[in-house]
Amino acid sequence: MKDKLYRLALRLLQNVEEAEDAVQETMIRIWGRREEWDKWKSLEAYCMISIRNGCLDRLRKQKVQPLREEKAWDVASADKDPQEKMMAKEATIQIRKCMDELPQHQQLVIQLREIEGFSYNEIAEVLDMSMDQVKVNLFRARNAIKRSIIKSTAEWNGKA
Amino acid sequence: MERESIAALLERYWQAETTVEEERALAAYFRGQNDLPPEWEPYREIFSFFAEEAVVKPGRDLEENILEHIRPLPAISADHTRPRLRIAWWAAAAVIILVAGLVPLLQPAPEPAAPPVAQYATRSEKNVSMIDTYDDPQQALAAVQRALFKASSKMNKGLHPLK
Repeated sequence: MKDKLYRLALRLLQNVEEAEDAVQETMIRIWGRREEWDKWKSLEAYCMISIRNGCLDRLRKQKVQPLREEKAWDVASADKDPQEKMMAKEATIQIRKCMDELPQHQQLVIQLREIEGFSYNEIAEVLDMSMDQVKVNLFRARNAIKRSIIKSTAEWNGKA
Repeated sequence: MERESIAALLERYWQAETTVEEERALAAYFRGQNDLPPEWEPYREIFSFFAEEAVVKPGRDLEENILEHIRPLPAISADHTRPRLRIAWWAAAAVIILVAGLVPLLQPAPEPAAPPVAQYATRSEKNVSMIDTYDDPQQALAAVQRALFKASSKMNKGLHPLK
């Protein structure tokens, strides 16, 4: 649970320390309300909504400056040769850049669907959107990423 | 999985019409397939990117920090409850003892079985008043001394073990 909360917080705040603080704050708050857990339809959805709201508050009040730290997202791919590794690294950077430039609600839809595997219903609940809005945002975000990576790959192949 | 079915699935994926299970199947295909058509190579990067993002975790300190905050709560509440309960029990016991001790004092003293020379005013009157009981002061003193001696001998009972 805390990993999902952290990834969503990192997506919004783009700062490791801020994301960890937001997760800690959210989890402690939710623990404090443990007597109400039975009344909630879905604890996971409630936690995701809480972290989203907490992060948006932080962005508003404290004016958190997103501080992209490559290390936080970097996962070693040991089974590739150096050129493939470099290409993969380039592709990762390109996709991440594209993700960061998407409107916030598209980023969140992509995060919850592609990375966390949430259903449309769950995404609609967490992001307070209709199912149609979820689908439209997902459609636009996926196609934006697709266009971006196809374009970049064509450029790299042209250079090579 | 057949390439045609992957192509069809991909088409639905871009239209945001696939289910979570179908998307998992697509991701598994792109992760495991070595000889992809060149036009699909960029898609592999997309699915790899999502898979990599899905394993991002916070530092270990975060879990410890959270546990530090939430662990003491049950202990604190238990420690707070027990002394309070104990105090309540003690208070209840003290009240019972106090009441039990006061009850005999509050009850009217029984009339002496045979007062030596007790004489009371007429009982039919509203105000019952006691008139002098002894005519001889010596007799009165002796009676008082007897009564005090009797009372003090009872009071000393039980003190012996404390000495």
